[in-house]
Amino acid sequence: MTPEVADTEVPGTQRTADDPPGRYVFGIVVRDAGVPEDVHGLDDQPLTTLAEGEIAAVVQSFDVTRRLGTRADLLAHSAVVDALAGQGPVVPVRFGSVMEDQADVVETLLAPQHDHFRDLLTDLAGKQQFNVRATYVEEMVLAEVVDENADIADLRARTRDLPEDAGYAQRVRLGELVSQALDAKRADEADQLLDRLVPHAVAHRVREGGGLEHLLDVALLVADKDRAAFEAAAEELAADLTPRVRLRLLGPLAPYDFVPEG
Amino acid sequence: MTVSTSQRRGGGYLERPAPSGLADVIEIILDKGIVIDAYIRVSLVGIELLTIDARIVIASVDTYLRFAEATNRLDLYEHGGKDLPELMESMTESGASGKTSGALKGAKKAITGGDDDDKESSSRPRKKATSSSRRRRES
Repeated sequence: MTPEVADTEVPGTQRTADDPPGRYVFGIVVRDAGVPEDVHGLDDQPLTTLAEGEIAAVVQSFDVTRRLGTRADLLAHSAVVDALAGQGPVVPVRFGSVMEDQADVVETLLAPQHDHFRDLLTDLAGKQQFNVRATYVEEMVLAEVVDENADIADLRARTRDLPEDAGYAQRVRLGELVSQALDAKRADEADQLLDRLVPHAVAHRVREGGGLEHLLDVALLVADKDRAAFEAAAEELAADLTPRVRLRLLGPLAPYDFVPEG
Repeated sequence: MTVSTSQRRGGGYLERPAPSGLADVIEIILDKGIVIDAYIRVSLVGIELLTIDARIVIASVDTYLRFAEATNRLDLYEHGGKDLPELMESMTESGASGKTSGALKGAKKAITGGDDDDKESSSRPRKKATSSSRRRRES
């Protein structure tokens, strides 16, 4: 990471308010993919591509001193990358990635890893990401936990009517036991859920999650030809899980979870 | 900006919101995608704060206390929640017929305290008893 490049002047480029030389990078696509019509970048700037060999970066002009992270920035990034995914394979680039200028994008990003990105794009062609999140309905799963664990039922009976400042240690212990019981339940059930979805996907990544209601958060890479079967499986799973578990499906999305981080 | 709506399709149990809400977008894109060597990481405003809380729960005393509180609050949820009619129905059918799902049985048992708890729950002072739980015990 070299923050000082922000101050480097590139010969032949002029930094003006209208067309700063910095380039915000959204993703990498196959060379002739082009940019989707009607989709604009951050600050409503037009999208352009910078090509190298068989691949191209989708970028926009960007002032490298501008701070990022507003709601509009996040939504714009997401809208562009998803629009790219809608027209062909895309390797998403992490939110907030800005390079010095056009030459930097081509020479630092595209050229050195040309074959790597090309192969990745070939692998991702015809596949989309879906995110599935299963959450417990809190009151129902807690009722199960109380019902299934005598220790918990007992501690609950002893602590529930105590004033706030009494029974502190017992309440901590109760929470710990509930937490452990939920972990065990979750581990068991998450595997069962995965067994129903993973056969329809070419790859999956379990995403980190937390909280009392958390059951499973998973990203699945699904081939277009399997999409209908996958969606039907998710629908059927949701019906089987109701009312104690809610199932939520997001997608199709760009393959955010299926590109190497480096 | 479109408002994220829960459209229900097909069988109707699978929630399929359009991922246009900020929370969804943050979850989908944050820390995802390739990292470019030697790029300029423009200062990211406030995002870290937004997400840490939502994504990771560290097992701590605070977490345990929250879990305990939620567990102790149980009957308030159940009697005030939107599933009330359904739960009440399952209670009326009680003793029943295996039609009720395991989950509902579990819920019902926890509300009533279960058979072996009945004595205790009726003799114990219940500051938090709601009108509907009182009604149920009298019936």
